[in-house]
Amino acid sequence: MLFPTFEFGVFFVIVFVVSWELRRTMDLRKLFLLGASYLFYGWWDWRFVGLLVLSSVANYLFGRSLGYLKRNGLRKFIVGLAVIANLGVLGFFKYYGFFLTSLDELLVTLGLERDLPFLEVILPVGISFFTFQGISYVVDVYRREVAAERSLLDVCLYISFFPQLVAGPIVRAHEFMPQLERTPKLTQAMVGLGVTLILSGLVKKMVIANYLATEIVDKVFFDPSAFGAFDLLIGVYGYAVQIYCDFSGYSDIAIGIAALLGYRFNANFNQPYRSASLQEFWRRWHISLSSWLRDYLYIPLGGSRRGEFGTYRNLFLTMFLGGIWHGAAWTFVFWGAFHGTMLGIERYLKAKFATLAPLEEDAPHFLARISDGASWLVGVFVTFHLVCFAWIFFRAESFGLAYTYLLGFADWTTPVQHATPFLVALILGALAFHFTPAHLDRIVGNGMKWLPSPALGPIFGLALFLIWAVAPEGVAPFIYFQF
Amino acid sequence: MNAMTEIKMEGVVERFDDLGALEEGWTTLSRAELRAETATRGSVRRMARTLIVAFLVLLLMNSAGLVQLVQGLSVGPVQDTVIVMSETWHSEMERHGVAEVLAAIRTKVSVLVQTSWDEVGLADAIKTVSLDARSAETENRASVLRGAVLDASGS
Repeated sequence: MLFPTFEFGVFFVIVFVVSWELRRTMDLRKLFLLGASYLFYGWWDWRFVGLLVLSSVANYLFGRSLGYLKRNGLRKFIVGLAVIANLGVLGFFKYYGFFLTSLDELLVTLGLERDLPFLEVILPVGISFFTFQGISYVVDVYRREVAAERSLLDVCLYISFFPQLVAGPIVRAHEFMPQLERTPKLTQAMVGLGVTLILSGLVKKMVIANYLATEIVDKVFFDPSAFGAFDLLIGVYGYAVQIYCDFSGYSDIAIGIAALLGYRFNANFNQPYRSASLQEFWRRWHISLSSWLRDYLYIPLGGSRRGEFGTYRNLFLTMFLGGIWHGAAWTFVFWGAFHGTMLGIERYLKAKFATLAPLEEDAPHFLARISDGASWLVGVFVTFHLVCFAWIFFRAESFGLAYTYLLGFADWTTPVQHATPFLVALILGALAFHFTPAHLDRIVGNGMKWLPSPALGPIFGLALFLIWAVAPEGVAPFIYFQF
Repeated sequence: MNAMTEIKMEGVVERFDDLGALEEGWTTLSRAELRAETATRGSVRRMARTLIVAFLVLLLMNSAGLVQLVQGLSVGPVQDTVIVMSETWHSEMERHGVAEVLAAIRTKVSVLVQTSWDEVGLADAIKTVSLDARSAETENRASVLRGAVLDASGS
């Protein structure tokens, strides 16, 4: 079930009304929300609901064991087992085919061709997200950041709650589980924010992302050799905006829906293309994943506490594995490795510059401001283009196509075919949004909270109608569903 | 001693034994919780009304979408009735001109999407970029050729 569809609209209205009717009987409400979440997930393929249930029950049992055990060695063994089990399931569904294909190619290259046990493995939607949530719960219990949950219902609902189930944001156990123990509340502010986020998410996804995908991005990435540099340039800028609007649009809708059901999710994006460094970019892009990788991978690896070399190695490994998490293809591996390498280089250069040209305390204030502003502008420009360069590999079907794409930037003679003024305006508008006040949605939502329903209803209805009217026909799936 | 308390509410008289005491299994609610409960009830009603009004607005403005939607239903007496009702509703909306708003917006957007660089007066700027690049490329090729000729002549 996709968010911007009629089916989901009906589904949400029923869930909203029934769940609030059941608010006084908490367990019944949670049971209802769990059933609704399984229905939402089963809409794609009922067979995978079993996998979701299995994952939830297994993580519940791991959590209970960790809560019961006192010996550190045994607890470490259990948490290790839980992580291996979760990653094993993810690995089988997501990487089995990729691993065998790569092994097959390697054996052929070495002249050792073998019959390998290839299987047609269907990737369950959202498996990367609910696996990471399961790991988050078990590790948090191990670290004693959350108590081992006695209620199986709570753990199942935490892992399967439908707004974030298939494409995040990755909700952390210590943030969500306590909310399940409190009587849910719906304030005026939550209504204002929920409606605002749902509308902004729909505009981002249905209008901006869908136009860019259908009018230019899909075409130029399908056969880059057929286009000149201007089309390719607008194509990659378009993809940068498309993936942002697609994914942050989904996150906005998820956060908005959760707010209307009485739950709070943290923001997943914070104007990422205004970042003046890659480090800043990763603090603003897919925040729930980057903070997950930081807390469950980078810090356990030693973070920046293992000397210079250790820090670079940890940075690289974290981003490399983050790349693999995104998809089973060498292009994603390259994307992650590129970000890891560039983060290392950035860190090194920053340290060098700080030593070579330390900040002067007595520099005139206006000069310092000009210098800060200029370096910020250069930083934003360079960061955006480094990110765009990496997006080419992220989006291209193969290294060959990515290479053809890059070669195409040398050809400024082919006439412009798809980069129309409309698309350029769409891209510029979306990028300009990054330089508006932070948390604009919260500011608008705060204004909406005072509107009575006779005003809010027509605004909501007319906005939905306008989005429907302006958007290209058809509903494209969200990019992050494949991950 | 069991004290009897009478509470009168809109003509209904209820009698309570030991009003101050609490039976086992009952809990007290703080004022803050009561206020939150009242606020929640108000917000839920407000959102429910918002959803109903939004649905009516969509029904009014997007009758074409409604027809498109119901035509995907399977065959059956109820479905047939729904289809007929939707089509009647859509023709009523067409008669009053409401349904034309959607078509008008789509036409305008389509014109906007197809606007060329010529129409916004920037065709020359785009062509100049291409031409500059082309002349630079020709220049490069020419210089390579010149170099090759010079090499061949042994100069």
